[in-house]
Amino acid sequence: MLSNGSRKKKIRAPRKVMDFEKSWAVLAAAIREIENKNAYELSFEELYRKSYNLVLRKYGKQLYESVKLLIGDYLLGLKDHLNKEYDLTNDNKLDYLKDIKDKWEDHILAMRMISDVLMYLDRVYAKENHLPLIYDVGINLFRDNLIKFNSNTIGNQLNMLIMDEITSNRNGLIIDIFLIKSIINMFESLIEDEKNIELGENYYLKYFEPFYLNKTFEYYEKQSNEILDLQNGTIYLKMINELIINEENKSILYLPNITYPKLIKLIDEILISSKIDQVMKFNNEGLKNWILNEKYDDLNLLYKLLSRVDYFDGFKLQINEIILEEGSSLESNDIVETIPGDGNNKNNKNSSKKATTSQALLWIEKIIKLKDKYDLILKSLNNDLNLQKTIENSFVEFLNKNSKLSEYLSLFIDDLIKKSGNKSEEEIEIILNKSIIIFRFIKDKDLFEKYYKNHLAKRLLKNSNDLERVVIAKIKNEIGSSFTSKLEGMFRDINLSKEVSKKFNSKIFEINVLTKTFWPIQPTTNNEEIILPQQLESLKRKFNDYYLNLYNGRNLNWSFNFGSIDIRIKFDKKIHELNMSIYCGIIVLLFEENDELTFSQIETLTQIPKSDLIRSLQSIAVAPRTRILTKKPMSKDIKPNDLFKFNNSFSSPMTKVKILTVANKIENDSERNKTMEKIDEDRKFELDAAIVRIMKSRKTLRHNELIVETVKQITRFKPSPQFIKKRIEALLEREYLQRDKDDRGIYHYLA
Amino acid sequence: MSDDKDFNDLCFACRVNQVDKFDYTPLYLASLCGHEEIVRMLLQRGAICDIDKRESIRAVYGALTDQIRNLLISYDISKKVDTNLPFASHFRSLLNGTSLLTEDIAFELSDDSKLRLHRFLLSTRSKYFREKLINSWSTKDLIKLTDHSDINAFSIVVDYLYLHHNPSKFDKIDYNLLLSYGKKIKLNEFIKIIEDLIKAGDDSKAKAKLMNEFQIRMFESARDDFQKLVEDEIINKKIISNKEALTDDQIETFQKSVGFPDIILSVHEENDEDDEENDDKYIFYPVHRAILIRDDYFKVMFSSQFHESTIYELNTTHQIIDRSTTIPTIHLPVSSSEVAEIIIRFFYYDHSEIPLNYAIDVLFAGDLLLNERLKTMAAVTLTTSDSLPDGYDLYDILRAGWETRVDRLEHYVAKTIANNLENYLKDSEFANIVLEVCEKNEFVETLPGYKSYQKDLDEIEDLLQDLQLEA
Repeated sequence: MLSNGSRKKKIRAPRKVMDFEKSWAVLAAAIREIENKNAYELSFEELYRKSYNLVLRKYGKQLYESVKLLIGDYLLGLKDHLNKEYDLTNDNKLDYLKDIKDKWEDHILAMRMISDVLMYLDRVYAKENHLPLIYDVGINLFRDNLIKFNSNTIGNQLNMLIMDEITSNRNGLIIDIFLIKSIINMFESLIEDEKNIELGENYYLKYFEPFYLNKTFEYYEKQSNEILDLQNGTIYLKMINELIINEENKSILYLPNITYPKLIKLIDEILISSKIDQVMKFNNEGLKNWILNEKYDDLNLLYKLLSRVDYFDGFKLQINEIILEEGSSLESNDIVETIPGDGNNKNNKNSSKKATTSQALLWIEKIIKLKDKYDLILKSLNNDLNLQKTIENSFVEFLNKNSKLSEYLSLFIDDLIKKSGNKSEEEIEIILNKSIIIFRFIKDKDLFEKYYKNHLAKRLLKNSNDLERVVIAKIKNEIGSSFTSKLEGMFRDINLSKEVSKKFNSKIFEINVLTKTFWPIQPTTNNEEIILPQQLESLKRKFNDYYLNLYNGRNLNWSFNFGSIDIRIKFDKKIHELNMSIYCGIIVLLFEENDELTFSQIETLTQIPKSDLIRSLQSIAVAPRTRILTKKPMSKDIKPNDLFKFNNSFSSPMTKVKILTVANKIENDSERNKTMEKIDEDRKFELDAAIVRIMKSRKTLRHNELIVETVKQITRFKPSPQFIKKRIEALLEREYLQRDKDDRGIYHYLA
Repeated sequence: MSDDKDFNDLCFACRVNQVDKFDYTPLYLASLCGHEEIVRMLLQRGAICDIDKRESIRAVYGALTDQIRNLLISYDISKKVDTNLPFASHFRSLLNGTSLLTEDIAFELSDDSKLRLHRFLLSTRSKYFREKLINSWSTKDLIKLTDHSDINAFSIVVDYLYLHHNPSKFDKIDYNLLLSYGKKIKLNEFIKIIEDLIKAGDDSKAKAKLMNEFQIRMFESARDDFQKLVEDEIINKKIISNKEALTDDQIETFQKSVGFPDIILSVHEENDEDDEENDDKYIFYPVHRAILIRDDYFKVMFSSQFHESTIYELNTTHQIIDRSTTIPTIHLPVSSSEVAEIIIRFFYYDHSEIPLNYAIDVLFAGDLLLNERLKTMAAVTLTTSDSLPDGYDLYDILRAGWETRVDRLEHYVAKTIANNLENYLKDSEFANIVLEVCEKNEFVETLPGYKSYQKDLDEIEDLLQDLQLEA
């Protein structure tokens, strides 16, 4: 600088020309001292001022490069020293690791101090020229001149040694965690891509992490295969659970956060995802064993492991199979139990029927028990909603394989209500709730409705129970009021009838007036032709007049086959009060005037339908305890020429005697077919109604869309597409719908 | 008004007068959103509503309701005060403990609570403490506060001494107690404010204003105290010697001083080369590390592990500096005692007057000390004076600006030359500087962001063309 005054620029005046070499010699000596940890004698102020002046005199570049060279040389020397000192064949591996760790820590400390001294160089020269700061230069040189020198020689050795230590640690040996952690920290500090520091690529991520994950894979693959060879699922679960916990606890001590999730994902994949399906299939302590033997702890552990990887597909598949198997084994048990029943030849048909009923009840009970078990299993699966669905679907699947499901369940509830006196309210409530769950599993709910209505009708006509309403409320809650409206109508009829009977008279005459459409029972066609005894005939006429007067315009049809009658008869020994069906009553009353009658005569005199007549006669002439009539010949079958006579010598320990009509409890095949026909008929109506409803609102729809919509609307059963197609065709025929002229796959609604 | 502790903590945590990146204060946000209760609370907690300031007037205009607006106006203080004075925030940070250990006395508040403080600060700010420190506390490292009723008062007083204003602490203490403690330790300014606060009674508006007043008076008294410290105990006590180092006796006088210095700055004044009668002079100032570390250069010097960081003995029991050993000397690389004193005044109380003739030296000192504020202040002196410093011409200023990377100087010189182009065109020196500009120009263009210089460069280049035309 030009000088034109004596007292100016005192800062810069002393030396007109800076001697770079002289100042650098001092700085270089200081840097060596710093590297050798002898800095405490050095004056920061002096060194700083030297570097400051050099930069101010435009020696920044020279200084920067010189520092770089000096540190680079120092590190190369360090590298040579390390390579010479350790052959790594002996037991000095740990010393080697420790030495490198110490060298690294010394180096970063030294670099911190060197960069403190060269602060002005950093702030002015490096910054203006977009060069790395001196500190970073030192770190990068450590990477290039030491760790990665000669194609990563020392680096590879370090990776290997650290991995050895980690493996020892996995095998249960105690290692110097802090040493490992320090070296890993060092790796993380070594930036790989200097131009893109934001990418965060460093030595650790580029070299160590892939190596580590690879070795970890090999380690756990080997471990898990060894455990797998034991062929024991419980042991497998327990051992890998331990491995996982162990690895989690240990790795967290030295592994960077960025790798931890990768590690967990890797070991989960090796130990759980890739092997668990195989493990669950083990015969020895596999999923089936755990379920059948209710090993909830094992199941819970399994669930925990599966949740880690969120992989349930295999589990769902297997549990489905197991439930189906368990479910179908319940049915096969039934058959086994039926066989001895068949062997018993007395009252063969009757007892087999009873056996079938009790089997139905037993079956439902077993299912409820099975469901209870799976509820507990589900609990051990943390009540996972998804798995609950799977289990329920499996139940739906195996339950609906049994075509008698609806009937059995209805029978079960029938039985429950009839025998409700024996159980506490709580018990009944619990069983009812479980029954409702099974009801939920029924696909064709309309079929159930049919059976239920039949059973309900019979129960209502006998005597109604408060429980009925509870059940209906539960069903309503489950599926909605459209399903139960007819059932509720039945209740209304019964209640109304009670009032009407009361008003009409008379304690002796109770009558139920039923709305035809609510009730499953229909008057037999020839009901009007049945010839009643005088007493009954007049009662019937009186009520007819009374009722039609009360409700003008209604039409009363009489169904005697559902009624009962009490008759008091004086026998030789005693007067008995007999309760019997109206048919039986009609027959018995015939003997007021006749001594002897043949079957054909009785048929002519009463006009009772033949099958009913046979059953009635069986109850009063064949049933051992209620032989009001004697029959010739004394056989079980009833033939047209059989002769019946009033049995004056009838006796019974009780005054009141109830004569049971031989009744069909379970449907036989032809009855079932009839029921199915009836159901089919109802389904047709329902489908037609649904299709018309949809078309009315949509006007025009494609065939497939219509099918989809229809399936959506029908909740009471699962209509097959073919069935729907048939109904569509029927509706086309009846001109509710019309095909599009150009596209036959499109339907139009015809108003 | 609620006594909600959480809210108090919140106000304390967010420091009621702080601003976010949009310069929004809590007061403004509360006002804008119409939270009248919170506005009141903030004002009572010392939020400043000064309608001469942008942040505050914004709150007044942005007020959602008239009630809030009136409330704000009623709390208006309209008195210029900068609560974020740099020296104030530095003292506050000392109270919280910095990365560097500078405390030299410990107080035991209770069995498990210790407060570590600075003797020089207590001595400077309070005559009472100074007496104590000279006499009964002079050899003690740990002072036990025996009277427990004084502890809360002591804490508020320490805050006051360290320029830390925390209104929420005042809620938890009886003012009369505070007053009697203030009287005990003879803190006159403090006593006055507490007396006013007692007079204000339950008038929360008056109280809030007093709280702000408190802060202003606190800063003013502190500034006076530190000025006095610098003049009486540092500059007045400086030792001028022709030897490079002080004798032990000389150091001992520093050690005994009520300034309680813990470091000595030495300045080497080189004699002019042509004056052979006088030797070089060495000037020694007794100063404090707690203050020097405001500057990055000194902070690094004392924290990096060189000789300068190893010269202190620690009292490890109390985690304080052991003063019984000698006071070390470090060299302040400036050229004259005048420059040194400018810098010392600046460090202690943000004194910013720089005589024109020392501005260039201060500029370079600021550059060396990595202190941008010092550089800016020097540059402001240079660019706002009507004349140039003795012995320097405009080109020197330009070069100094380049060397220390202070753009303001370059702009200033370019403008001055442009305004007097005729005169400079005749100057032979001007041609040289234009050539330098050309070299620099190329260099500058390789840098991103050079466009900001473009305007000035264009101006100068115009000159260049003029010059060539003339030539």
